[in-house]
Amino acid sequence: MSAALQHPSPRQARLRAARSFARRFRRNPLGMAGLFIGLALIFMAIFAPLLATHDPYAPDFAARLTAPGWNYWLGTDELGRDIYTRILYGSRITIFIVALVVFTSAPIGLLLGVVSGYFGGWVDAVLMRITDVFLAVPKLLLALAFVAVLGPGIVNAALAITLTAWPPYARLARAETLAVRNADFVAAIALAGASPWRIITRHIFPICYSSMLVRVTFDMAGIILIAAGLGFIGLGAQPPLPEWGAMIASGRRFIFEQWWVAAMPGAAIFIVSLGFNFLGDALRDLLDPHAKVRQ
Amino acid sequence: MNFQIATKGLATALLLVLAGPAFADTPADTLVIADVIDDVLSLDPHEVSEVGGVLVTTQVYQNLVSVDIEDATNIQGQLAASWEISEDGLTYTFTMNPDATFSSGNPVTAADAAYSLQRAVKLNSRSAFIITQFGFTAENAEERIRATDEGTLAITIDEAYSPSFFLVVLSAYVAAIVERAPLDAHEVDGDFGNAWLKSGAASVGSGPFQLEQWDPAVAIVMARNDNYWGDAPAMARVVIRQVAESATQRLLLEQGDIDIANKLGPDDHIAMADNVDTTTLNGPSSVIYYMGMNQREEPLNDPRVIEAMKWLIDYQGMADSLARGTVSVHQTMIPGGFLGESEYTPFSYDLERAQALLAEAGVELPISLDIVVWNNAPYVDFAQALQATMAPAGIELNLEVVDGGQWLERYRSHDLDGWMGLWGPDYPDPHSNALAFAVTSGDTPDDKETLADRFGFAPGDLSARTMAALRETDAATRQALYEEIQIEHTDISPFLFMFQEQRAIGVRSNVEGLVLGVTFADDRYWNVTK
Repeated sequence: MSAALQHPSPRQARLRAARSFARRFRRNPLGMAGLFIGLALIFMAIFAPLLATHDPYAPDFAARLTAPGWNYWLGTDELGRDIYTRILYGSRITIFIVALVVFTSAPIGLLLGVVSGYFGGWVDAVLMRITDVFLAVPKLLLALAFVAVLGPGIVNAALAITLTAWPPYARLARAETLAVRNADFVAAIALAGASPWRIITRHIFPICYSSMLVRVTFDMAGIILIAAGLGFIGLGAQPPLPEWGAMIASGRRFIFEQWWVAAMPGAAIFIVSLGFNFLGDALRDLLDPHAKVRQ
Repeated sequence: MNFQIATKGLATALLLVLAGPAFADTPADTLVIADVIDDVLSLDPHEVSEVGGVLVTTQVYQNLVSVDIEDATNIQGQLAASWEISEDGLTYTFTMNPDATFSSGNPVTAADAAYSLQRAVKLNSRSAFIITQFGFTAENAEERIRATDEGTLAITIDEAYSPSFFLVVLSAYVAAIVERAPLDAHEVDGDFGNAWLKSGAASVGSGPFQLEQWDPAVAIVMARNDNYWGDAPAMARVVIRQVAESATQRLLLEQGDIDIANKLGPDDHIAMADNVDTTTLNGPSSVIYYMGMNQREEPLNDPRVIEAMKWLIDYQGMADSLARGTVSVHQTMIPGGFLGESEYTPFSYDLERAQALLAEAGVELPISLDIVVWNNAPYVDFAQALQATMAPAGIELNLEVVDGGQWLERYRSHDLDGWMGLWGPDYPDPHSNALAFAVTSGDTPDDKETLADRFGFAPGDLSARTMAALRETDAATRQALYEEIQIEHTDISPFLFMFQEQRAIGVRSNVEGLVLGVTFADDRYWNVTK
């Protein structure tokens, strides 16, 4: 037995952990379904122009409110636009909003949480009370107020959701930090002369990553729903953008006769939200350190 | 868990959410109307200007004169029995109808009438311009509008107009006659009882109904005026309910929960065509749909850009497919059915012509314009259709879809590129529209801002010519003047006139005697039986 096998290098260890993770993930059918839906969404967004059968914006008055069929797979809306094509293009907006929210709110939450947990004292008190204020107001209501101030639009809607989405991440990161701030390895690095900034970014951040990842995946469904909600009440994407929530809002008028106008984008929101929930569930089962101990 | 029970429970909950409290058929002596009344801000007749508010004050208040709904040139006495006009055309002397009484039972006197018109001038609300255009101000109102005795009212205007014009304006909602005594009793800090009256707590009119209750954005309830001096209405109550969605109005109408659905979309009318319990009632409407462009902004100040936009609208296509019979193509400022109407419709969709005009103007393409749109059918549909047909020529419309309050606020603020909306005349005379669209404040008698001013339109001599048309006393000459003015106005103005509304409302088949109005909110409910 060689020494290399007994003491694998960090890189080999990471690789091995990833392989074992992938193996266990594959055994989780719901997780795989969620992953598939997520990848399908990204695929749709990237290849929308190739998959589309019509122009997503050009009205065709002659084909107004056509039922689903051979020519229009999911029917047409009140201006004769193909709903299938619009859902395809709408996936780009959905991904854009989700990505913008995740890439802004997760780092903000992580930083505030870790700083708060590591330094403690009055820094902790001040940051956590601010977090409490944001947590105390219902998410959609807060987002609504922000959009009302900023003006309607996709970017503003995403920013408004960000402002409501970071507090849970801050709480989570703080809890993780509190658990390790007095650990021996942190004391050892500090004794070796590392600055607080280095300790936070190089040694505490990585510990938070897995729980953050789980939380973010779970939140994606919520972000999609809030974005659709803002679109539905006219504060998100503006016409003619094929945002799914806005599409449902315009289909509401025809819900008795032409159900597909509202039902199709509704189904898209439903499937994608379900997919992210499955994915988040599976990731939690696999990454949660407490669950791992129980196995 | 019993799945069936759960499903049924869910279905019931959904229905309740959709339908609000579910009634059986409406009571035999109650007329229930579904409409959109969330725009109502006041029920003071001298302050209302929104569609829902005017609809209510039309049932509750009366004027000195009224206009025959069949023939707008036929002016009849209502609270005035007769009138005389002085030689110089400046002084109108009305003899009050001695039979007329208010809902309190007190007679309608000339003093009440004088007080009412003075009050409309002094309150100086958004609709006051309709009567202040005759030169009334808060300072001179008492001198120019005066009761000479119990039954005689004398009004002096600042210059002679076609006599029917002043009388038609007196039939407008803002010239409603109110009872003075209760308003004096509720006056606070010289507000003429406005705070009391605007809340809808009571009404002080002489009309067939009186106001009973107003829950803002929920319902307005009117009760029969038991002291009504004319033929008592058959209905003891008229209830106007807020039902925002066309689909919900249709559901309620089909179930018999309401008698009249005022805001049904074209698709719902078509879907109900086979239902024997309901019918569609068609009527005239003077509402004009247009998009106004703000000429204070570059490059909208170039008339060629505006003209190009007029060639980039698929008028007929939109009327046929989007509006499906609820509008007709109309491209001038005066609605069909009015004196001075014109069938001038020069524009149609012509991309090449528009591109040539834009090239000639030498503007840098694409042009990006922010358009404010009401978040309501049909405005959003119309706006998106324009967005699609203008894009190929390099005119990009960014739609700002907002609620009704914001939509009106933005339109009064001068800082937008374009505004998609409607205009309904305040009284059945061509001047109501002509004043708004073609006259600038310098030429108005009361110096008030007009629609043309809002959009930065410089109409040149059109403004003075429009005022001259108003002073023309011969009807045929006046008609000819308006035709000329309109052709020029349609060609150069920054108003993209598109359609005139064709009114269609849904009613239960047993509803009879409903009279649809001619301006924008003057349907009459007092002869309804069912």
